[in-house]
Amino acid sequence: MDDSLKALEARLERLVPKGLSDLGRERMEDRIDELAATVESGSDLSGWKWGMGAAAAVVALVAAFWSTGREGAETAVVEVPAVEIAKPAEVVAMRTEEDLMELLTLSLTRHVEARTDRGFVTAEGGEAPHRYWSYEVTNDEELMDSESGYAVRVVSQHEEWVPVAVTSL
Amino acid sequence: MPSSPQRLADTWKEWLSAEGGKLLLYARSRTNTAQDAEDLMQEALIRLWGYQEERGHVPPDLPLAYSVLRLCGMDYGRKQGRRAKNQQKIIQFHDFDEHWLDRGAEEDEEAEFLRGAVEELTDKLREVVTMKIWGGLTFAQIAEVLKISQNTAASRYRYALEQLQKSLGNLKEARNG
Repeated sequence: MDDSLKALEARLERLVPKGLSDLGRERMEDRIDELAATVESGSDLSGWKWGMGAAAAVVALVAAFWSTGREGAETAVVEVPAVEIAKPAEVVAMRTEEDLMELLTLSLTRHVEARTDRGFVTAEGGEAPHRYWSYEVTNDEELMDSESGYAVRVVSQHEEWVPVAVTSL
Repeated sequence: MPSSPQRLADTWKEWLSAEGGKLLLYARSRTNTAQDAEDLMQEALIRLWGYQEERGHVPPDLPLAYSVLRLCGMDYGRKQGRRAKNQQKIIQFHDFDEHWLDRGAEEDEEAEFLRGAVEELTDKLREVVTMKIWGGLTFAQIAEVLKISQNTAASRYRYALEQLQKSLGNLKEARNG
């Protein structure tokens, strides 16, 4: 970075962010007091850990269900976090398909793994002939549950056939 | 690690005092009004509290706080609707009383201009600048928060600085005649 940009950077650093308003700070501190009051001193954390594991499993499982239910998806590989899933069946029942709409798509990439020539197809009705190519496509999605903050990666593969019009043979 | 509820509350209040301004600045850039930004902070605080339960309720590190705030901001954006948000933002840019940077720190014309120029950066550029300059995050941390590569984070930052420099240059030229 050149000197002029560094000087600009230093200038920006001198601009001080505006703090919370008095009322805003008061409200947040009240909320902190309320939250802290719910915590018992030295409480056992094992129940929470189970809950975290179960929540992660829920997100992973519903994401897998969603992925495999889409048109064109033939297989789905879900990377499930290494957590102990004590009662997955009960947990899954807590989520409906509508809830899946709440998952945020953080990223989506499509990779073409292979292309195969499927040959010529002569169309009926005097239309130009087409040459078909089939593509093995891998979708790699990262989804996040906005409530729990858990993110899962869903990898699914499917085949797409693409006709290409042949203008001359 | 905090043990009693009172000590826990004090620790979080100290954390809020130290980091609240940085986070509010980011929240402000994702909302229409200062009030909405504080509401967003409140929502993020509750979520962060839940996330930190397994860590003995210690206050979160800044990258995690930004991540959660960003998620809350995305929810907020969905609720508001893109069109309404854009209309509001036009008002925001010209409403100096609600400026999200403290005007008291520097009163010269260039500083005032620079604040306006930062606000007029696109959302993607502004959030990187906000996290880097006022949040003190590294490019690696910014990349993690925004789910982008480190190179993209660094490129956006550099591009934002170049835009600000260009705006500042135009101001100087206009001033000199």
